[in-house]
Amino acid sequence: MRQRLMDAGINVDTGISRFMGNEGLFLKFLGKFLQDTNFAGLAEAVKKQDVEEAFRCAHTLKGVCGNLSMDELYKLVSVQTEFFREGNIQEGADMMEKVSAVYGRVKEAIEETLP
Amino acid sequence: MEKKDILIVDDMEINRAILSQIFADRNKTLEAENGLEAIQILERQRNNIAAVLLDIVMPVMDGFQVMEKMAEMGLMDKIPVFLITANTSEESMSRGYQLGAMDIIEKPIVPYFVRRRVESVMELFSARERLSHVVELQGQKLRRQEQEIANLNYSIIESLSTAIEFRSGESGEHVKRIRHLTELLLEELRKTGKEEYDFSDKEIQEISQASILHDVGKIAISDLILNKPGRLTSEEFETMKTHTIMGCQVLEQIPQHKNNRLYQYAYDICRHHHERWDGGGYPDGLKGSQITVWSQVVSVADVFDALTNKRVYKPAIPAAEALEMIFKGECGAFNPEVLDSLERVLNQQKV
Repeated sequence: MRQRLMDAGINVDTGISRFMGNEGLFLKFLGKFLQDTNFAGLAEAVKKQDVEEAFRCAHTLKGVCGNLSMDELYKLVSVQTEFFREGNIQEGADMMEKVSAVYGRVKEAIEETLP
Repeated sequence: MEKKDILIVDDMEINRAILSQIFADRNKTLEAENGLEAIQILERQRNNIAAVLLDIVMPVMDGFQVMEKMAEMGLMDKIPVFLITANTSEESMSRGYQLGAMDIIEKPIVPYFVRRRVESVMELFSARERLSHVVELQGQKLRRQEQEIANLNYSIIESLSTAIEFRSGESGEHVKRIRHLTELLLEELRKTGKEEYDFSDKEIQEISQASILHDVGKIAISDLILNKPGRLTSEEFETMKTHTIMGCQVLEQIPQHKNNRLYQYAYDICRHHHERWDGGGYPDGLKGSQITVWSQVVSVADVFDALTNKRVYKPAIPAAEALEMIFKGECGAFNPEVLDSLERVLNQQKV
């Protein structure tokens, strides 16, 4: 299970330590990540070329995936957030494909490992 | 009671959960989903909250607005605020510090660091609060001691003045009456609204206290003259007049108090309480407003009290009659405004 999550770019050890060693809590919030609407909101905002909304969603998503130690996704979204902050919708939108792919891997890994 | 609660403000549940988990074993944590909720919690529980951990980007009311609101509530210097944010751009960090954030902590959170940084600042704030409490208590104690010393000083002045009164066969009530009448006259003069009579309550207190020393120079006048039942010869009267200057000489023996306002009033009153408005008084023959208001007032109070009370050389005269004598100029020449205020004080039957 750990390996499956690690393969999706999730650093399970730092994630658990961020919850003060409470593995159950870490897994609970991994599960809740699936219900989080910020990724969907981001995709929608990019489609609508709404840079402010895209920034807000990307920024929140960055915070959450950072705290859940989704390192790969975190790095990508961090870069993307900065584009949106500058008002650069185009370069931010260009990253959407990559972000979606990594997001998809994370989502699958969680769905497979959690009951 | 020491504040122990930590308020965590973040729109994302996961972020609140992580922060809450860090402090769960030592502190009670309170959670708010947005700035408005945070302010509502602060309004209710400001006295229990030891720190605020605050996200910046939130719906309804963001972190910067929360800090502005906290500043309005006077809380920014009482409760340390930590910004917890994924947005570490220089612009937003400097805005955060400008608004009074104690520290800015980056997401993703590293629990150990967060705990150390937040706890050390909370400790700093609680130490500062303890100290300021100690300082406040010590300040109160100092003020109390200062008051005691002032009271003691005043008792000594009063004892000295009373001792001198006793030599003239007075009961010691004279100094108390002079003090009271001086105070009433100054308050009455102040009501005229004129600039020269615009004394503060403290100044009136000081002048009234100083007034009881007006005859301190009589200590240097021999009993034969001081207690002579009949009229004084002109030579004896000249000696009697020196009690004004002698009073100043007595006061000069306490040089370390020369900067004290009460001392300065007393010195002036000793010397000039026998000056006359028309310039015919002693020792300096000052005229009109050359005489300070306080010496003018004590001069009137002294004459009025001497008239209305029994002395070795005369019986007591009723107040109305005494006032009439003073107004007719039978007992000296005084500032008409001070006499008017004497009349008003008597009409109010305060004496």
